[in-house]
Amino acid sequence: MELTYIKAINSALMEEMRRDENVFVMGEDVGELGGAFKATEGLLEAFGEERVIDTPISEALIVGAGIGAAVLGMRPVLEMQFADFISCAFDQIVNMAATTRYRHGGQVQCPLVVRAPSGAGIHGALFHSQNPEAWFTRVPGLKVVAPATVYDAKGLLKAAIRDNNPVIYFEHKRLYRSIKEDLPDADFTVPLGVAEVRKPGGDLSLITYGGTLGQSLDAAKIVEKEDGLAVEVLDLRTLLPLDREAILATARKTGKVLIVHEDRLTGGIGGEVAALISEHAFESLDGPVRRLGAMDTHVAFSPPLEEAILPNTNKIVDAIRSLAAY
Amino acid sequence: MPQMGESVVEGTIVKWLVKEGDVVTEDQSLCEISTDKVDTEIPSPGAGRIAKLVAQEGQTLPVGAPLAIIEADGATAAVAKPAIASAPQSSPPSKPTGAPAPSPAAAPRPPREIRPAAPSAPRAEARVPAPAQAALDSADDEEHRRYSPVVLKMAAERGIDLSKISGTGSGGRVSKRDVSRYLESLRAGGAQPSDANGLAAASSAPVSPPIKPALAQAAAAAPSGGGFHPPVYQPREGDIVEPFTRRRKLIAEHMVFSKTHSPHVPTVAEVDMTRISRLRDIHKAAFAAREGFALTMLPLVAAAAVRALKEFPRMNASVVGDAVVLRREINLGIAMDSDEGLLVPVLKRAEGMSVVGIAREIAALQRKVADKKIAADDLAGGSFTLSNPGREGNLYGFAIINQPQVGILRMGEVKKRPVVIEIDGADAIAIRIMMYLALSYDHRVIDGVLGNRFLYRTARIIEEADFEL
Repeated sequence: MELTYIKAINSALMEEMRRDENVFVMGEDVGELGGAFKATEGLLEAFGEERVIDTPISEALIVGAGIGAAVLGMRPVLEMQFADFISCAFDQIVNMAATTRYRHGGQVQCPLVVRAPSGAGIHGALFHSQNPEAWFTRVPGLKVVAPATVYDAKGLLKAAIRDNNPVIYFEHKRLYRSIKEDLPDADFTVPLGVAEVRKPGGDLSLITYGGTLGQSLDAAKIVEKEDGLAVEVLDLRTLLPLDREAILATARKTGKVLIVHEDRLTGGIGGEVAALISEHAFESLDGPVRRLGAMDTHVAFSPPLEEAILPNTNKIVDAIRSLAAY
Repeated sequence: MPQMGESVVEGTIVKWLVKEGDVVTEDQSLCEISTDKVDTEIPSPGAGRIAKLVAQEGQTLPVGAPLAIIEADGATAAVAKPAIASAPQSSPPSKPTGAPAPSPAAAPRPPREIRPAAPSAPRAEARVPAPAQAALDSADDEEHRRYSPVVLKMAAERGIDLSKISGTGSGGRVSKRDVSRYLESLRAGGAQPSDANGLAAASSAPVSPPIKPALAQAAAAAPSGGGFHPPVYQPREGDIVEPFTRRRKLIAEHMVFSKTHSPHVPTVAEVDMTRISRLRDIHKAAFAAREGFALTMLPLVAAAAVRALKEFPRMNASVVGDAVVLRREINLGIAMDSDEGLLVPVLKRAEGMSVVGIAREIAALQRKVADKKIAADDLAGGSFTLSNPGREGNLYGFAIINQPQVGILRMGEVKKRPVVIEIDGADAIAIRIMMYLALSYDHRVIDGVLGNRFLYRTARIIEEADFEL
């Protein structure tokens, strides 16, 4: 069945709630409205208001209540209306959810999912365009995923719901209705912590995830056609824990690595990936590990400025060419 | 020969002030010397008797070379060899500090090895004695030959001498791909690997057969050592390879020669063409009816250039070896576009021509170019050149000097512009027909003041528009 990215999320929620009665959703306008982006559309009708809960506008409350439910055996899926506001729930996530298992000597677990619609390119400006994943990728006890395809949107959400640890699920808003894919009818999941080579190549590795995978694949096609460059594109899919083997394998294969993400450059996950490579694949390197991310500023209101701030296909093409020529 | 300034590498003995057998005191002037920077007298490094004048008047010697031998008290000879003084260029040489040498047989050994500068190298640029500079360069090369970890690893594993591989990465870096290609070329039969890089790449892609020799030639011509050479050409479908024609090759060589031998100074003047345009408009119809061709700006500017050249004979010159030849005849080259590329037919003996004569001659040369009837004689003997690429978008540009001439004028687009003019002592903004006239001159032989005056004069002659049509 051909689905959009947002429909894949909706379908994953439907199937998981049907499969396990402990799964429930909670968030601002997730019930009657079906979610600001319609991710939870139809859930209220299908599962009733005890399993589809509209909350006050308080991200800390949503996650805090979710932690309580998770500790008692439920599997809450908590929606942040925009990932930009996940910072309101920061303490609950990093101090409470992430530490629960550790604090209780492994006797208590916290199986919750925080869904965070992230990303720019939709003229949402600085409060509706953020990519805050890197705030969480250094917190032990959490898992962080960022699906870039329709298949992964469904498979990773189902895997996240079934995982016994808190998982932050970053879904890219620009992908909601811009990509479609024919998905199998049968139940499937995408394993957490496993990256995927989206396009093999031998000249240069491009490591990316989420919103910039499509642009990266487009760029790889352009340089293949115009420059004869075979770029290997690795989709990280899970940002915590990183798939170190896949990262090091592609770095060792090509010797040149470009990391692309929509998140800002400074402190972004690209720095961690670059460090991993230079520590463990140094002898295979034929050039500096390069990064391309958003400029270190806030996403602007003005569309031309937004365009200038964010990475895009042309900028990726330029970065590939420059590194290939090194 | 003392060092008379940082950039001075040699000096010429103008005149000896002493002769053999003379008794001299310390600091007494021994001779007059002339260098690139200063003319001065050389003081004696010590008291004694001139045993021998080693250098002759008129002789040019490198810094450090012995000039004379002075026998100090007790028949001990000293070489009149002032210590290398790092004297400022404008000041007299510092007082010599060298004490008389103890042994009469002491070989006059220059304190620094000086390799004579190549004749073509501008002397002022020989800042450091050549061998020292070379040593610095090679140290730099070693410093800059850095390899990526993977390249070093491949070299170590396969026992490759990386200095044999010419890099195609940025700044000539040897990349992993370069090493792979080198290994492939070794496997393929051990051809010159650096050249094989280019050939292997060029012949692997589908390129139609006739152009292959041209590509092979191009690849073979690539320098195999260090230094810059352009990235290896990767043939792509649809590319068209045009081997140089003989004319194109000559043009290319001429342009490169000119750029590397003549330090071009670009200068540009603003010329008010309003009056000369009016003059042309007044005579246009009658001129065309009488002469059978249209009167353009080109002959008018050419006539102005000829007039200015008469006033500035140094601009109408050739560089021949180490001399400037002031040409009596003004043979004005006019750059023209042709099917085979740039041609510069020469307007011979233009100094004796009227404006109309110049216009007729230019028109005749243009016809010859169009009819492909231009002869070698038409192209030879130019003493100065005028270029008019004309057309739109050419605000101004600087032409490359047609060797061995010393200057070239280039006309910019003739266009109406608002300019400030003075009417009866009051400033006003007026719409005038303007042109930028650019002069490139050879700074080896034309100084800035002369170049400027010539350009300014040419511009004024055009503006005055005092021509008989």
